[in-house]
Amino acid sequence: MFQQTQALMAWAVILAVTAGVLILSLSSGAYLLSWEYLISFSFSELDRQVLWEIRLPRVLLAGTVGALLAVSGAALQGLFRNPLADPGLIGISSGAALAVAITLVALPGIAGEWGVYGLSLAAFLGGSLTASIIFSLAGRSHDQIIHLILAGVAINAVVGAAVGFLTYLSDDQQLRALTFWSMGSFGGALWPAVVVTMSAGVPAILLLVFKAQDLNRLLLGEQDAIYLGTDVVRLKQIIIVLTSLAVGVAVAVSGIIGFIGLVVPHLIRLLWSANHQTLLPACALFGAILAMLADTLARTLVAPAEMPVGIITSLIGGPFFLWLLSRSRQTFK
Amino acid sequence: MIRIKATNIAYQVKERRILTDINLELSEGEFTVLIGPNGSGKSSLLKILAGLEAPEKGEILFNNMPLKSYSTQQLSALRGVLSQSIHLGFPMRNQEIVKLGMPTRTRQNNHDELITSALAMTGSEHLADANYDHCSGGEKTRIQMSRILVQLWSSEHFPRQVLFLDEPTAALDLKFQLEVLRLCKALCDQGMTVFCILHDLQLAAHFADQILVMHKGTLIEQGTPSTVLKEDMIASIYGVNSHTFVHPANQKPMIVASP
Repeated sequence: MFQQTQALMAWAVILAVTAGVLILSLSSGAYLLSWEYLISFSFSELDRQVLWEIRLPRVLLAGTVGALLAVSGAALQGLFRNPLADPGLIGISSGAALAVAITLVALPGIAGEWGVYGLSLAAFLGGSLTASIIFSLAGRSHDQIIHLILAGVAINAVVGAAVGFLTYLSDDQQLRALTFWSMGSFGGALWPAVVVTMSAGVPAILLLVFKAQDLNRLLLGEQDAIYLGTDVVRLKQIIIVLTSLAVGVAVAVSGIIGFIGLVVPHLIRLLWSANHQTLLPACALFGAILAMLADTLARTLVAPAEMPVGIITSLIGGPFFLWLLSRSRQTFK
Repeated sequence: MIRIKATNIAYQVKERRILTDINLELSEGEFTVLIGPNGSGKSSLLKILAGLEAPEKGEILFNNMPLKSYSTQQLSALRGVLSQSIHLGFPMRNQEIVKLGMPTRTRQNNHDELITSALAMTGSEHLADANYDHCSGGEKTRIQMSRILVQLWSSEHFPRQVLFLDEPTAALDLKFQLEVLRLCKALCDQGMTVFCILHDLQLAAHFADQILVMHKGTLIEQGTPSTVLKEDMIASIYGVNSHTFVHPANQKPMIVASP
């Protein structure tokens, strides 16, 4: 009873913080919208335009992408039974990114006509292909984490070279598109991107949450999950497809935004619970919070210019990752 | 009634022969103990009988139906398996571990009751809120045992099921060695079939209805404790000299190794 009250309190706090950060992100930026006016819905015509055309789609996109990356990170860490399996580190994001880059340069027709839909589809295919490769390399190995990280290093290197080659091939306009997108930014956020991301991302998150208890069983090891009645082979396929979809749409609309998938699940496990029934929904909210905050910083620190949000998340995430490594070397076997 | 019947089982992993020509029967309400030296193939046999690995040759019948005709889900309602030590690497609480024994999509709403009584059966109520990975080896075994109790209880087939245990006593102190095996014996009395790997011949003698002796991948002896546990058998499989006595309290054989 006591625990249930505690859990309810925790959810109330995290929901309140989400709402607060949402309002903060909507109000701050090059053009200041006062939060008192925001919550009382009293806008001038200009306020309304800035809010509806620029601020709201951008903040919603940042929140959704943050939620997708954090939930995917948590699910992949459960699947690999390893707390270091971040979609960026092990190469899923890069795979998706390469597919988007190829589409932008080699198939500009698709990028132009299908717009964000074509890019999302390409990113999903690239992401799931990479995830399958990584899983067949590291899935059954005993030195799993070493294989995972090395596979990530190799994939990231190949993708870096390929993207460089594409840059060399591309014309001026393609180059602009590629460069802006690859730095990781919510700058181009318009409603179509929000609609695509939410319509693919929200079901993916819900389906992952639905598999929470199976992911918990997997923590016992594959054998014991099977003994409990979980079809482990199918579970792995489902998790890989859903996380690739989630990471794919996130990469397609915002480029590579690193470390959210690593930092957020870790903090939730540390402060609250590793039980996926709590972890996954909490990651969705906390991932959204972190991405909205990082994007707000990206827009305001050097206003009226802005910096890529990927720089901010990496600036926070990189040292955090090093701290994790130094903190508990033994547990990461 | 015969719960599991295995005929001519053979098994190998990458050219390495693990099991040959295994024949056995496990009956309703019967406590079977499998003994044998390290590396003789005991755990492999357990995994095959539990349906995790498929044998290369031979047939296994579970309730007179081929074992391979059952789905993963169906099997989970018919048997539970206590594996050797399980490490998580993520900070889960013990009651969350025990709850994993419940079916994932269940309409049962007596979760808390089931979990509390499963923890009580293994003397672990006080560990309910503790972090699993911070518990001792023996405590972990008891938590996992509670999880398997929840799994078995949650099934409509209870107690017409099979409980497999792979060296359950390895990490337990003297008291809990007896407690866990007594718990298994009590389940047997309700009709459960128990198949347990043990190294302690004394415990084997005390609890087993049937003892199977595994040596180099074959079953060289099967029978009651007093017919199987003989000095020459122990000398031939372990290479250890021993003396057998009769236990004054229950007339079961007592084995003392000569150092």
